[in-house]
Amino acid sequence: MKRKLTLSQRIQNAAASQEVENVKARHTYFHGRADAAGEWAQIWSRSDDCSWAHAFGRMRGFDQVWYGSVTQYDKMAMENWLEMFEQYPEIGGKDPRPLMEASVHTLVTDIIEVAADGKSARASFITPGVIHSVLTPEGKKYCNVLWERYGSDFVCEDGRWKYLHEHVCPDIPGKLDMCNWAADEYARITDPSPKESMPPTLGPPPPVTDPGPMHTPYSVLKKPQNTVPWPEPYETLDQDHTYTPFVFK
Amino acid sequence: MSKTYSDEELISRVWDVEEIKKLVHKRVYYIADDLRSEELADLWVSDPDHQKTASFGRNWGYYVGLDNIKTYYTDSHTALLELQKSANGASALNVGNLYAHPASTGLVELAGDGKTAKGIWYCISQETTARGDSTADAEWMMEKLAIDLIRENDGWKIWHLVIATDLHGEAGQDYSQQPIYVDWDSDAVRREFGVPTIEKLTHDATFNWWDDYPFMPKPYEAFHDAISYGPEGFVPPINKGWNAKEGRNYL
Repeated sequence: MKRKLTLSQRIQNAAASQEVENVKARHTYFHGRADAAGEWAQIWSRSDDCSWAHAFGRMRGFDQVWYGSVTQYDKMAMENWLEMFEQYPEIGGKDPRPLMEASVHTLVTDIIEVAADGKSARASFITPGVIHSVLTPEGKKYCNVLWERYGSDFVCEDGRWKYLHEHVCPDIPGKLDMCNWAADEYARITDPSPKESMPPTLGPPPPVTDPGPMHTPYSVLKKPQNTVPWPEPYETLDQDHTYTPFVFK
Repeated sequence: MSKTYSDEELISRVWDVEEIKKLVHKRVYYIADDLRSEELADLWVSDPDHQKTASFGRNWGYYVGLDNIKTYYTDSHTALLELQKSANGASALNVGNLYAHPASTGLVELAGDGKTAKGIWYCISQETTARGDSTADAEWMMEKLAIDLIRENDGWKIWHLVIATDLHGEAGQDYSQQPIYVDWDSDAVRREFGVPTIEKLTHDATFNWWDDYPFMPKPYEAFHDAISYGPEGFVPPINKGWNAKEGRNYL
């Protein structure tokens, strides 16, 4: 990007950077309560260009993202509640969604670039997350760790910053203090009849437009995957500056 | 909040948010060095009116007023450290102890009027405390941190603070082997909190984040009690389920 910004543009972009940081953090706190409807209703663009990607592939368009990230997610929460209520009648009357788990993807090491045109922003983060729950159908509480990278694009719509693209890249899943991801993976792949590795997402994969795998957890057989490189300064959101290539219809 | 600001107003607001983040991050270092008295003196409100309404909350209630906060946060803490030093035959306080509560995932909302701010963070924390047999107890602690800040003559200050612990457990041990229901009478974090000014269950981690406390700050124009992270802003979660015991005895 060669354009030199005016002082006024720099101030606007600095404020935008803080707004984007807040939108990203809101994602974490919504997700911690498994409030998918709250997240997608409040901080996402309804654009056909919006997308959400994980190891299983990429959902494209708000309707497909809503189905995979809200409808399917709520279904898992309701099924979890139905499995638990006889064992724990104290969950009666409570919203089933946060009872599923507190999936807390903490955010560190953010690099945020606001476009020179001020209409979009791009950001990368590392998330050393913890996922915990107390009441479970198995009668055991748990705390897992999940380290991931995020590549996120945002757009400014009517003065408000919204999510447009999210690409989640899982690296290390495991039980808090009870796993050695490298030794566990080595043992798994050298087992004559290897078991499935711990899935980096809950439940079955949702319908996607771009099939995966896109970024898979650590393997002794793989190099580090730089799937969502940090954003460089850029002029405008386009095919060269996005975490989801645009599809032109 | 789609309020329009001039460039000068906007850069002042950007600056304020960065100052607030820095203050909260400094608090992490004060804790790491166990400088609790200094934290209260340097980072908390100094205006007498603000000190009267300052609060320090955890899952089980709030200490209200800076004098009460000091009694809990520094005096009781120092007394416990003295006991530990004596029991361990240590040469000084804090020998063999280590504290880290790094604040991540910051979300800061500066009021439209610029006089106050609200923020929330998440801390994957550890506390290590020496035992008398030369070993130490190393604990993970997962907790939400929520703070109301107010602008005083010499800058931003902590006014109301809530630490909502989600879980804690010994490092290297399988958390899933802990009992489902924590016995609060013997729980170390609960016992350390003592008897607060206002005893009130505000966050019961049995139900994960169902109670939504402390809540995410929303954009706001001016501070008012209903949005406070002090006791005035706590609203018990609605729960009228059969045999639900009102969410394990919400007061």
